[in-house]
Amino acid sequence: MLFHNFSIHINSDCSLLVQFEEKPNLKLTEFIHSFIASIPQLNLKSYTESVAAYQSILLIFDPLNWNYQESIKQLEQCLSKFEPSKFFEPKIIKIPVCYDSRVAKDLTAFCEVKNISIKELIALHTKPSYRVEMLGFLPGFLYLFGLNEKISLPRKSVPDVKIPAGSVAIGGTQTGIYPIDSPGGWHIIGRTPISLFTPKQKPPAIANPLDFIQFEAISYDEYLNYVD
Amino acid sequence: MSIKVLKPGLQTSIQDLGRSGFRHLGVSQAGAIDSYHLKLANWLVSKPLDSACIESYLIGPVIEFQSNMTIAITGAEFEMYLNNTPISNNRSYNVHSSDRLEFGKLISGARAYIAFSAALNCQTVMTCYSSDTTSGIAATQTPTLSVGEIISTLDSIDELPIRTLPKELVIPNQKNIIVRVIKGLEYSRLTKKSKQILFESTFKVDANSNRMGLRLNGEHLELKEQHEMVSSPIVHGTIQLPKSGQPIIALNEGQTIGGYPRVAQVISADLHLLGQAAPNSKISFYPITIDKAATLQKHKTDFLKEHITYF
Repeated sequence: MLFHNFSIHINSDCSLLVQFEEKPNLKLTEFIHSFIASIPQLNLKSYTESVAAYQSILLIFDPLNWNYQESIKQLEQCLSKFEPSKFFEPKIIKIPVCYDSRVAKDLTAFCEVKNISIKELIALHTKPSYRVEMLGFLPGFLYLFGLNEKISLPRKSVPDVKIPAGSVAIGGTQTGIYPIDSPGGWHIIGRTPISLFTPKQKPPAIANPLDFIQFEAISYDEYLNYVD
Repeated sequence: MSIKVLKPGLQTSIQDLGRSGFRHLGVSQAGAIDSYHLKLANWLVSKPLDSACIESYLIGPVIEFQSNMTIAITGAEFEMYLNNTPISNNRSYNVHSSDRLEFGKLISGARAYIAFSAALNCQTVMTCYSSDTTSGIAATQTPTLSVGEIISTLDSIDELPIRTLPKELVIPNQKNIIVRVIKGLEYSRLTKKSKQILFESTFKVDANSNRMGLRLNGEHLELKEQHEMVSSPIVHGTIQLPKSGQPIIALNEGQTIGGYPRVAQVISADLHLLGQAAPNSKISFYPITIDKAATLQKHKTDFLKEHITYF
């Protein structure tokens, strides 16, 4: 069994943060999501919900009559003997992306700065299967792992006020898709016609942690005529 | 049976106590920023305390009731008129079909809650009626109410006995808001001087604040050394410190994951006070222990139970 060193911190008067020491890695991501999936069986008193991040797990409790000392003790015990189960059956989700400056306002500038052709960018961006590390920041936003460092680029110093929903972007060493219209500082290189988050659907998001995302290039015409 | 929006005001939306259980999808709780006054408004119209109300911010709406019901307004104090007759906060009014409620000038506070005895006639979205004005998740047609929008309701009892808020429960709106906090996870990274500034100076609420967060302006806060954070969870009331040195308090529509140091955390019992922080009002932070925070939460809940009889 691979043990992950952790410490438990009081995050607020109704939440605890489990912080892992090691740098983000696949084994840790699997451990985190496997542990979160097992929480309902642990009978943690006053527990309501949790959030996974790269190196931490947040657990939220009902602040009324919450005994944090007891929760810390319970959590410590559970975590130290927890063995992640291999229950994940990652899906591979294909996302059509139109890499065209008519829907991606930073595409041309991005390629110029990186000194590559649009064709090369498409090849580099569509090649990997990106692993979903977690969801967060905005509803349905996927934190993806696996961007080729040849196409990484620091975020803009002045963020855009409004990036349209569906925009596929690169920010630093990460790539992602804006699920809703939002301000943001990433470089827009494409747009997907599919919606990433539908509140009234079950489940509302298109992917779960540990699933894989593959981008597939489509033409501008295909983008316009795409039926979701 | 409905309520018609004649003028929507600034950021008027339907809110209840918000949703839980969706943060792992990036969906924060939304809900009334001042949950205390939402509960009191509902009590005045004899509704379950967690029912949906209309929340208005800085500029109130003009609405027309299209059936008989009982209404009450709490929270921010506005000049208000029911069919051109001035009315006031903290008591209920029986209204009739085609009566018109008009909000005028804001006098104090920031957010008012309009409770109505008629039940909402629409589907919940992700377990509740709260609008997330940032992400657009909403049970109504649009996340913030629009001109001419009709809020459909069920039938209500024609007239309810008038209720007035017990005066023990009235919290006057302050220009200087003090909230109690516990130290945040990255508090120790602040310089000695910044630690002092955080707890001893006052911060001014920036006009760019919204339901996502309260942006504050004050003396510059600094870390001992620059610290690149790995994206980490944020909760309601987390006080983050971006590179600008000016703190931001995460509110009900705050991001679930963020990348700035968390210098302090507003206690649960005081979160509702942030709902009345208008631009240019002042906020200061008073540090307490986690044990004290738990006691205060219990006191606040017991106090509310004690003073409002609920049936």
